[in-house]
Amino acid sequence: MSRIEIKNLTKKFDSKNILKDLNLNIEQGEMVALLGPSGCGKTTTLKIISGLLDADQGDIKFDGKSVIDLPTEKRGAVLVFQEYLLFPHLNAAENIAFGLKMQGVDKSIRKNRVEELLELVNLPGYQSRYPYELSGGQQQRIALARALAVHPKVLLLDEPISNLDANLREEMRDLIRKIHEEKQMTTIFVTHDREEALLVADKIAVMKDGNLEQVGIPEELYRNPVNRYVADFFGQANYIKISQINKDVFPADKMREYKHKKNKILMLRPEFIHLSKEKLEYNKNILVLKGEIEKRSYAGERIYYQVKVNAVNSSLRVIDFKLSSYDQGSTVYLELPLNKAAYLEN
Amino acid sequence: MKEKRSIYKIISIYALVFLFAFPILLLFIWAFSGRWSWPNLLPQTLSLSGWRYFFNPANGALESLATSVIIGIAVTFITLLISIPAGKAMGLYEFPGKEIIKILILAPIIIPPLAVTMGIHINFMRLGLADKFIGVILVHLIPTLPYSIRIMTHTFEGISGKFEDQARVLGAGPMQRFWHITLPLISPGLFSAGILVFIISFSQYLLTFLIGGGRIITFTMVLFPLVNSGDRMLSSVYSLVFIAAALIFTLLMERVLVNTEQRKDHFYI
Ligand SMILES: Nc1ncnc2c1ncn2[C@@H]1O[C@H](COP(=O)(O)OP(=O)(O)OP(=O)(O)O)[C@@H](O)[C@H]1O
Ligand SMILES: [Mg+2]
Repeated sequence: MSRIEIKNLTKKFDSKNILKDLNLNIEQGEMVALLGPSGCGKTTTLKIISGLLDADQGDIKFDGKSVIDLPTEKRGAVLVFQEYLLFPHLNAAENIAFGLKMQGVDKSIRKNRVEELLELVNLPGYQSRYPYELSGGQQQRIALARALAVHPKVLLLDEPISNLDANLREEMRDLIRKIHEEKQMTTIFVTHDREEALLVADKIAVMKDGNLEQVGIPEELYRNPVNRYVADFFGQANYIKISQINKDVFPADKMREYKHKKNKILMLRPEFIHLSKEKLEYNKNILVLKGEIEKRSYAGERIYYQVKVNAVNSSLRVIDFKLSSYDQGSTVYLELPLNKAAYLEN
Repeated sequence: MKEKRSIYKIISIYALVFLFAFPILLLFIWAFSGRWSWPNLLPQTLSLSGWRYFFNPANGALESLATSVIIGIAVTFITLLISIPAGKAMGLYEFPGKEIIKILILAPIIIPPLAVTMGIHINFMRLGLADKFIGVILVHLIPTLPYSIRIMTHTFEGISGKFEDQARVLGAGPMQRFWHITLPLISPGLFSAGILVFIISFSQYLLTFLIGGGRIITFTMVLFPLVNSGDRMLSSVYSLVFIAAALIFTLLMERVLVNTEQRKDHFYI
């Protein structure tokens, strides 16, 4: 297990920039999800880390030592491909023990290790099964065990769950998390599924067009996204251009602070906004805006409102869990808690 | 509807069996026949004289068979040895001019061999390869390589380079990857190519005749004149031996190359 540093990684395919100056640090024993849409360069990144692809520029360090010139087989970054790729001519035990056999590890040690790993992935007794005798989920688990067998410096999982169907996916997700907690393996986990990333990873790196937009723990990405892309990725958001807010609605001492934020956008999640019939008395941490209910949608335990606010020239979304009932067209005051807002670059 | 289809199926299976089996049956009857004059449906007497002639060392039949088998094995070995890297390059890598090379590789089986054999003969004489064992082996590579490279190209396309990549990230070096991953995965392709190559080499007549200059006597060179001369009994004996040799080679290749587990696998061709 190692600490991983990726520095200024750049990769071109046919003069098309696929990775652009990518930087990422992963602490020892940490599981980072690389989250991004299809084609943004996730698999390419993993292949470069494992050495299967050469980077055009940049450096990769394991525990502070550059590995960029080491051939794949000496790097110890084990990639588990999206398609499992169990060797079809070897049975489960031989597949799992493959890496150890290549290292010349003793047969009896290999046997014990296989047994232990099959136990870990919940497939005890499956030693002599051939890949074609295993289901997709079982193949995936054997592939995971095979990667773990060689004690990798970093484990690279390329969309390990996306080929499975819904209930298996949940099981596999929990298994990956369980194994991670047990083994504390430095892991990069590629996915394009937001929920998967939120549930499995310690940290999430949001990727877009060969760049990392933001790296952080899930809560940070939800509450303090650095731009609209990340904000939208993790849920609904209200955006208010600070330059558009009328002076008279703003708390006076906040206004001074906002002088420096003139060009920024204030982002606030809909569930943080509180609606009220009466205008709240002055509180420097709450921005109070007058609005008119445009739309009300009832959704069981919560109600979605769309409120037109003239002071900011736009409509804001509000999610109300108190099941208040403001009719369409009625006037309300919106209370925006400024300590829960994020300020994004325009 | 379903019954109708199964009737067609049965008829075509019988037709095929008949087409393959009948000529061989005829060969058998001929090979053991003694006197067999028109209009008898079956031979009047049976005899082993054809086989006696065949096994008599003085007639050189066994020696020519051994020559053919040795040449065939050598040709198969060399052809496969060349076809593995060639097939890998053609099947897995992209490089400029790949399409042209693909066509060029097929050229020897598109252009009639006689057209080039003369030129090759002259060059072989200059290099001192004519009339020699090694010359015959080399010239057999001309008709065998195109098929073999083609088969190996498709084999590599089928397995893709991903299994090797997977072995690589697990720490396997180049030789380990070849022995433990590539070779087992391509063995069905090697098997198909190997049989084809052996049979092509085994049935060569013209190339052997020209380059061997009559000094390298292979089995076909003994068989062809017999067929021409109209000695049906002897040519049947030789033909049966010919078939048996090819069959035995096929079975041996299968033993060596095809992993029992792979027979159940979708890769098995
Ligand atoms: N060998 C290659 N040659 C040319 N372009 C490539 C090659 N491999 C990948 N690309 C391109 O690089 C981009 C990123 O590919 P990559 O496989 O890294 O995407 P990804 O983020 O893993 O997507 P997905 O979620 O669909 O797996 C894509 O636009 C792809 O077309
Ligand atoms: Mg991918």
